[in-house]
Amino acid sequence: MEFLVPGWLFAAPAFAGALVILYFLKLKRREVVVSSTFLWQQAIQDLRVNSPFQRLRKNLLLFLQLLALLLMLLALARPVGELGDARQADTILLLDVSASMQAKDGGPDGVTRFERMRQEALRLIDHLGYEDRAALIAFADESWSLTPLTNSTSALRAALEQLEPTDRPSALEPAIQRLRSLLPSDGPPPQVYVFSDGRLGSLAGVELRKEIPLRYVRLGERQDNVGIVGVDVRLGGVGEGSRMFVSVLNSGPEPVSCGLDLYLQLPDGSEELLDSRELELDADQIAPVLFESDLGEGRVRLVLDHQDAFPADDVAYALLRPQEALRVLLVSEGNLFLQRAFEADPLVLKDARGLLPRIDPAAFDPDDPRLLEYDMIVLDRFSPERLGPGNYLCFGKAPPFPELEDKGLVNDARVLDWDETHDVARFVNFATLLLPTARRFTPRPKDTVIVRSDKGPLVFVAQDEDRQAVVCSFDLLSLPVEGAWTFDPSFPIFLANATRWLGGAGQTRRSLLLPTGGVAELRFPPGTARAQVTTPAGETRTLEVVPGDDAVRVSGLGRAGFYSVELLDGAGELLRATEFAANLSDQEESEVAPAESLELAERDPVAAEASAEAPRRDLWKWATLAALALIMLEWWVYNRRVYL
Amino acid sequence: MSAGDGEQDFAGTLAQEPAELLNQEFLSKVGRLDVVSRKILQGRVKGEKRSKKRGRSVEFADHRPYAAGDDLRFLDWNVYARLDQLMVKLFMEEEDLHVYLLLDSSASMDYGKPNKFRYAQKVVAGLAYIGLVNMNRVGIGTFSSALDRTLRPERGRRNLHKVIRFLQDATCGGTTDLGAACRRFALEHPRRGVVILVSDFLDRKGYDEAIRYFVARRMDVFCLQILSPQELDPPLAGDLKLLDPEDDDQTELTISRPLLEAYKRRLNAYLGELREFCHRRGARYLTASTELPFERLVVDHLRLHGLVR
Repeated sequence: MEFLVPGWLFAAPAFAGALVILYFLKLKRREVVVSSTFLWQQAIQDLRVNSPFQRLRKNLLLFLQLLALLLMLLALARPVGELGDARQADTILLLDVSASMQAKDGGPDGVTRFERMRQEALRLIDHLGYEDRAALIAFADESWSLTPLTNSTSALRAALEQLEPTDRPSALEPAIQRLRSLLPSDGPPPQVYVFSDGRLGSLAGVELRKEIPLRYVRLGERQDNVGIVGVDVRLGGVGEGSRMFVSVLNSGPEPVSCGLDLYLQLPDGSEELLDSRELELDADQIAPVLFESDLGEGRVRLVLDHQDAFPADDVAYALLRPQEALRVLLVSEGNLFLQRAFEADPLVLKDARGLLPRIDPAAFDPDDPRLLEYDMIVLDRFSPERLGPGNYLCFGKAPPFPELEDKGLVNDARVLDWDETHDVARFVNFATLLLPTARRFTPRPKDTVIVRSDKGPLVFVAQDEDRQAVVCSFDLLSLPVEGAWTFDPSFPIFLANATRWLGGAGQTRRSLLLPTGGVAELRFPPGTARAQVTTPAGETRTLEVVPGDDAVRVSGLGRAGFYSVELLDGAGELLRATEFAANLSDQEESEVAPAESLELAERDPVAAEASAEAPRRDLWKWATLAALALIMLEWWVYNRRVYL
Repeated sequence: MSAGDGEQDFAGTLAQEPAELLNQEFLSKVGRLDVVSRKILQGRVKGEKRSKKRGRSVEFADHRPYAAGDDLRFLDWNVYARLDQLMVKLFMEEEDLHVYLLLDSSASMDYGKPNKFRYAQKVVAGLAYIGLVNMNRVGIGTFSSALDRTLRPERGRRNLHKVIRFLQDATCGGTTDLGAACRRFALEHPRRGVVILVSDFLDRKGYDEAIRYFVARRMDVFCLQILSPQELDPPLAGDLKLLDPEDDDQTELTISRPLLEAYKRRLNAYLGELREFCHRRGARYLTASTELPFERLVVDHLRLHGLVR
């Protein structure tokens, strides 16, 4: 048991002394005339003789009064604690900062769930004793440790007051993982509070040991909401317009009609209404909306014209950009397969005659500055002595990268497996690739193998400072005529994938439109030293580019909106400016009705609590009740003439 | 819990009581009664003196041998004929019965509701009336620390107004000294008779001496102890300072149930001791609460105790 205001207990001797002094004061007695006092005197004498403890009666009253006084002081000192449990376990607060916590309950003048969570958590912290430790973990789709286990109330308060909501989706698993790192190896398990609206996605795989007490403080009320839960942009081919797919959800039980407006941001900062749709949404319905035709290019903003509790999902952002043609140079003595395949790719820039630019290997000069203009150079059965910065697709010979060795020819290599998740291998079937001969290269540890054979890697990505190459260890012309892979549909797809990946076009859609909480992977031009990211809120942060890395990864997309990225070289010169949009677009977040319980794996459901009850009971009420009982007992002893 | 001062203070209530001591209804009720002594034969041997009321008072009592000089008229010739001895007849001559009424007028009597002193006055007046109408010699004295006032023994109804005036003139005050007052009274009234001592007997010095004086003089003593209901069952509560009106004694106490019980035990023991004392000395004793109407006390209770008939 501890005392929140122990000063009262230190004052106890003074109060007790004052009470005792009162006992020494002469009682003012009422005077009553009786016929004679001598019988009374004898009666008193009798009483004293017969009950030697009678004088203790006064002392009993004093004792009871002192006890009641002490209990009252005890109540003022605000004892806290759980009876029977001397040491209080730590308290860990998991704070949901996902987008749905920005929903406002209680009408337009209400407070957001996030603000209520902050108040509840502050209240909980205020109830902690001096010795009690607490830790704060914020989570959305990731988790952050706001404070370690600390008994510093001010640190906890400061962390809570600085906490801001995000536009991210939510998941409990990252928070539970971080929580596990705080669990003590011995001693009582901490009391864990989850402050959330319960929109935490699937909890099926989330485990927390049963003995860890878990409480779920539910924030928010059931609300109707209409929100944008999906945005996608399909960029057209070269010279074609883009198309936008939007999904709008009505999570309420009533049909809703609302407007969806599409605005284009003009260079001067103003906005132009491009399109507007009227939507009729049934209860719990997701309606698809398609915007197409001439949408122009630039930043566009989608606004749902509907007043609801959760405004964060009523707006979405997207970037419309025309597809840029890729410049590809073929260095070959002549390869009809490559020539035709590239010429058939609409994204590859051709000359006026519709032919792919080609030079002879003998004419290849690695120092030619014109080579830098190409997005990709294809080296067919050719390996120069050195290579300048750039992106290369190599067939049959290894690029002259340090430590990349050619171990000679191998026969009858069979494809074992390939990395389907790699952009270069998407939708490509390598099973039909039959190789009577191939070369055996030994990639370095930092290189990424895409296709593996029993004789060694067949396709891999080699990185070397500002050079990057997709290396194929086989010669296209040495493939058998019968059933050659070059005649398989996979071949042009492979070429198109490699072209887009190496040329930077393949990333386009994914890097233009991201979910909040996601990671933007931005390809960077050779010579990039760092990236400067400007968030929707106008904050700027700088990311160092690791040489040899294939992309700049921008994480921490906490807010929906446009992120602009400037890729700078070592001298600070702008090499390329790019941008992307982040959107909430999460159906789970848009369904803002709070969950009534948390159902973790292998645990009983944790019922929701309306507010965070302090982990320990305030005991002053009990002390007050006991004092009251004592005062009543004292009154009874006094009036009922109880005597010992 | 505690009663107000007015509820607890029962001292000095005399002025609140009606001053009339006797009323006609009472007088008519007690007209047939007479004061009776168990001890004193009403008359004495008077060989040479004839009784004034011959018809009723001349009763044969005894014989004694004739001695020279005896009146020959009282010789019993029948005895002489039978026994051949000269015997003189002895007659019991009735004389007036002396009824002495002693009224306690100390300060402690001015207490209670109904007031003890007024009650005692009425009782004394009633008994005096009974005595007077039966041609007894009725003498009255009031006392506190000493014998204050006395009324010479008188006889006959015509002296009733004297008695009433004497009683009405009596006031309460002073301490009680039963012993001193009774010795004085006994000295001043040597004739044997019935002594009716009307008091609360709340005397720190005790009552033994007083009763012994009268008993030693072969008086027929009747102790009538008057107590108020407030003394028998004190309606007191709280932290009090009890004041004694006689000696200004102050007793501080906190009324509690055990204390009240101890007081009642002590009171009962005191009354028991007084009754026992009287019994052993051949005196009669009666406690009366002022709650009891004094007419009933006189007509019923005193008759039951043989004081009147």
